[in-house]
Parts: sequence; structure tokens; C-alpha cells
Amino acid sequence: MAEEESTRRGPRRVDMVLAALSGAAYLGAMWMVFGYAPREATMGDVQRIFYFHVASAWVGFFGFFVTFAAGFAYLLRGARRWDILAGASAEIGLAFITMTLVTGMLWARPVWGVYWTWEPRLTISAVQWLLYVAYAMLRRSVMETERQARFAAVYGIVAFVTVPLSWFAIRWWRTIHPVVISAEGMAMTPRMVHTLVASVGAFTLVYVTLVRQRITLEQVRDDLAALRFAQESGER
Amino acid sequence: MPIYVTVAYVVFSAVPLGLAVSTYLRRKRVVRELRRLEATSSEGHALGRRGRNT
Repeated sequence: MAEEESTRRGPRRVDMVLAALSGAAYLGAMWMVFGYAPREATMGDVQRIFYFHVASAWVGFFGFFVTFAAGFAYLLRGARRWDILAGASAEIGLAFITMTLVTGMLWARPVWGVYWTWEPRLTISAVQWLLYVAYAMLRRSVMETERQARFAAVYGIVAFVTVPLSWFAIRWWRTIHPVVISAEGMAMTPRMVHTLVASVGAFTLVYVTLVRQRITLEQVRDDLAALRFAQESGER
Repeated sequence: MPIYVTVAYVVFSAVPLGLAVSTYLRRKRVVRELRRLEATSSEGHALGRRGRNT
């Protein structure tokens, strides 16, 4: 067995270090949310959802961007590793966007009085979520590997249009969703900015850890498929 | 602390942790299957060699 294959079977040192760092960063960011960031004047403690809500949205968008870029790379180069990266990043990105939607609803209820409203940002977010759920279903469909990879690459590139649409929706159209970051700066105190930056950093580390873990899973699945093929060929 | 904040942070904690655990378990299952197939494959080679020797 090649050395590379054997190292994929157990957790690698770099992944264990990343996992430990992610956990520590996550706990640190959570401490900042509840112990360092000030209590917001209008919304009170419920505003604390903001830090992880925004961080999970940005990292989710980043995940979809990686899927978009890896899709291009796969179509240009045809190398399996770009397909694996695209799929892994989309799955993790979808998880982060799901968290964003759920926690957004939990924040909206006490602030807007409703869990959901069909305003531009939320509508685009719902469409985005459905598109990437469909991407995940495409990945699980029974299709020849190369064909599935090409479909998924094109799909991932097209679906990415929802990311800039979502970002700019609150700037282009009349919407109830708040604009915190604008050309005039951030509508936050320094402590809030520090907490937001720490949250984004922690979520990014968690994203990298989870994507690497997911990539290793796909590589081990490829090893299994190759072994099965070799055995079946040998039997014939 | 409002209940909404508590539930939101339970979601923020459970989702990444759940993903990590489920991916770990899925990999463990695949590795177990790999080892089983490799063991079957090496048994088959050994039987094949014995057959040629008799």
C-alpha cells in the first residue's frame, strides 16, 4: 500500500492540531460574545446572536466561493482533487448557511416580531439554500464519476451567483435586514468589531478543519472503490 | 439571557460538532471496509499460491 494511502486512514497530526486550534478559537470567540462584547442599547442581549450569525454567513459564502473556484479548476484541469474540494466545500458551506438561516430566524422573532418575511435578502438566502441542497443531492445521485463531477462543477459555478446577489441585496433594494458594514464604515463599537473579527477567525478555522476532514473521507472512499475494482477485475 | 440566544448558540455548537463526528464515523466505516477487503484479497492470494504448489 502506498504511504500516502496508509496515512489517510488515521487522523494526521496537522488535522489534530487544526481541530484543537479550532475548538480553542471557537470557545475563545464564544467567551468574547458573552463576556467581552458590550450589551447593545436597543436590542439588548438578543443582539449577541449577531457575531456568530454574521461569521457563519461569511464563511458559508466563502465555502461556496471555493466550490465555484474549484469547479473552474476541475473543468480546466480535470483533476479529481478539484472535484473533491468543490464537493467538500459546498457541503460545509451549506451547513454554515443553514446555521445562518436558523439563527437569523431566532434573532428575527424577538426583534421583528416574525420568524420570517419574504424580503429580498431572506428570499435570496432561501433560494440559495435550496440550490445548494440540490447540489448535495446531485452529488449523491448515481452517475458515472467524471460525468457527475462535470455537472457538479458547472452547477457550483452557476449557483455561486446567489452569493453576490445576497451580499448586495440589502444595498440595492428596500429591505428590513440591517446594513452593518457600508461605505461609511461599521456601525459598531471597537469591542463589537473585535468580537466579530474573532468570530470570523474561529469559524474560518472550523471550516478549514471540516473541509480537510471531508476531503480525507473522499480520498479513502476513492481508495475503497479502486480496491473493489481491482478485485473484480482480478476475479474476471 | 433570552431563550433565543441560548438556542442559537446550541445550534452554533451542535452543527460543526455534529459534522465533525459524523465525518469521523463515516471515515471509520470506510477504513473498516477497506481493511476487510484487503484481508480477503491477501487470503485469496495465499490460497492461490497453495493451489499451485500441490
